[in-house]
Amino acid sequence: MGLAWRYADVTGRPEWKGVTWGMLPLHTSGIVACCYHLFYNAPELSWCVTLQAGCTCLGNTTLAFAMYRLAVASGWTWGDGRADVEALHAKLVDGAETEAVAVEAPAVAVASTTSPATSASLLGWEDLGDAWALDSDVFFLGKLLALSAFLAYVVKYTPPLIPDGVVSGWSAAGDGAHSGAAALVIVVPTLLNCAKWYQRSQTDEFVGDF
Amino acid sequence: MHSIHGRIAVTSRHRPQGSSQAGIDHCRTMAKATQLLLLAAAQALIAPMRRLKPTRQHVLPPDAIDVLTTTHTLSAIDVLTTTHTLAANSALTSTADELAGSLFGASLLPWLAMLYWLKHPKVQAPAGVGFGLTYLLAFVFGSIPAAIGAGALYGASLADADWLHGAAESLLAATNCVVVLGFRDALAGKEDAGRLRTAGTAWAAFATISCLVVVGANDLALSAHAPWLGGAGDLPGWAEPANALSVPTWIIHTSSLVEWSGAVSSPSALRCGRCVCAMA
Repeated sequence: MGLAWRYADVTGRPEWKGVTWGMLPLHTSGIVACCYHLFYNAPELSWCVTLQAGCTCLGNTTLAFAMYRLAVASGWTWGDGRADVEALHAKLVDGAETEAVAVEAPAVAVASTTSPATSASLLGWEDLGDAWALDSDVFFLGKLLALSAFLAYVVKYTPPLIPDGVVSGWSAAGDGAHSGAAALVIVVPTLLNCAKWYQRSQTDEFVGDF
Repeated sequence: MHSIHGRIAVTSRHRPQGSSQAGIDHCRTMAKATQLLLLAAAQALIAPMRRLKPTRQHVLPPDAIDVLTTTHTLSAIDVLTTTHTLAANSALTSTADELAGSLFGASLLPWLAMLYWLKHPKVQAPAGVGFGLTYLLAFVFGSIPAAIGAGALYGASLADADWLHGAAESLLAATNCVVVLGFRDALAGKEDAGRLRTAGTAWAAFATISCLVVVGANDLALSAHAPWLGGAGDLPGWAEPANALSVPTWIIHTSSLVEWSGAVSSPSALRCGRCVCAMA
């Protein structure tokens, strides 16, 4: 989300910010899934699955809409869409003919995309910027792994630390209370996330970690 | 053979080389989208039966091992019959499941529309991002056999079958990583989607192999709760429910939320499909 936002700033195409907004329901979908697992996939929380499916469906739709806005802003028209459909139709009708052409073409294209890659890796030895970019991949993924692992341990091993008395109280609390707690775990982070992006949309400058 | 080869070549390259090339390229993309639409329709039929909960201690059917070893040859009808029987035991959750299944099935259509616009030559989206969002489909279609496997083998939901859950879900985590790196590349002004494709493909192979390893190391994975990657990092001696996620599976999940916490300089939150995990 943050990167799409930043990309919007860098390229001067504000529609990419719409893409960030489009992703919001999908993020909530992720929170719902984690919440469900946090409560050990309890049967009384099976509504989480339905909610997650709904968030996914909604998120995919909002993201598609955001992408549509981006495409239109980039010069795409419904005329293009019709042309693509017609090309597809033509291909399906006399598939064999086009197939031959299409098989030819990728071979050429692959060849032409591999050569820049090769030259980039050669350049890498001289260009510190490239080398750093490669390092930063590893660094970035390492940082991601470390944080994810830390969170995983917290999430996995905190519940067993809860005293027995609390646990039995929780079990006795009933399905309604469980659902309420789960709803809080879902709604609070979602609202915080929305607030974060709303705040960012109000300020021109992107401060701190993007 | 030729056409398969052609298809692979197309998926591994998205940037058009010229206007006529762009036309062909796009045409191929559309053809691929159509195939996926057909698959999506099939998915909607299967999905409602995914999240099956056993009402009693599940006993491994005598032919389960055969099923396991011949998973690849299982016909859809066999699977449907098996899951049907199991579904009869859980009428209550099945309504919620049915709704969830339909919603997941329906989610694919806007996703494909999104991919169409994203990959249109005029949009000039970063190649790595385009690949990453397409790679999500590996997760979607990888989690289908995983969910079917969990139901057919254990009568459990995917969320309760750790080794299948972790492996399938890891494809989503890989999707997020690829998209993030794709954006980072674009911001850094470099285009090297090739390495992302290689890494993505390698991860998909790893996820598949990791399943086989669990099966091999666990006497053909007799337990639904056999942990993914052998539960590497799990701490011994903690009292947890049997269906608690293993550390590797949790890491896969939390990695998707790390960016939200704002700690890392932001992996994208394309939690896109976190989705199918829920079949789960």
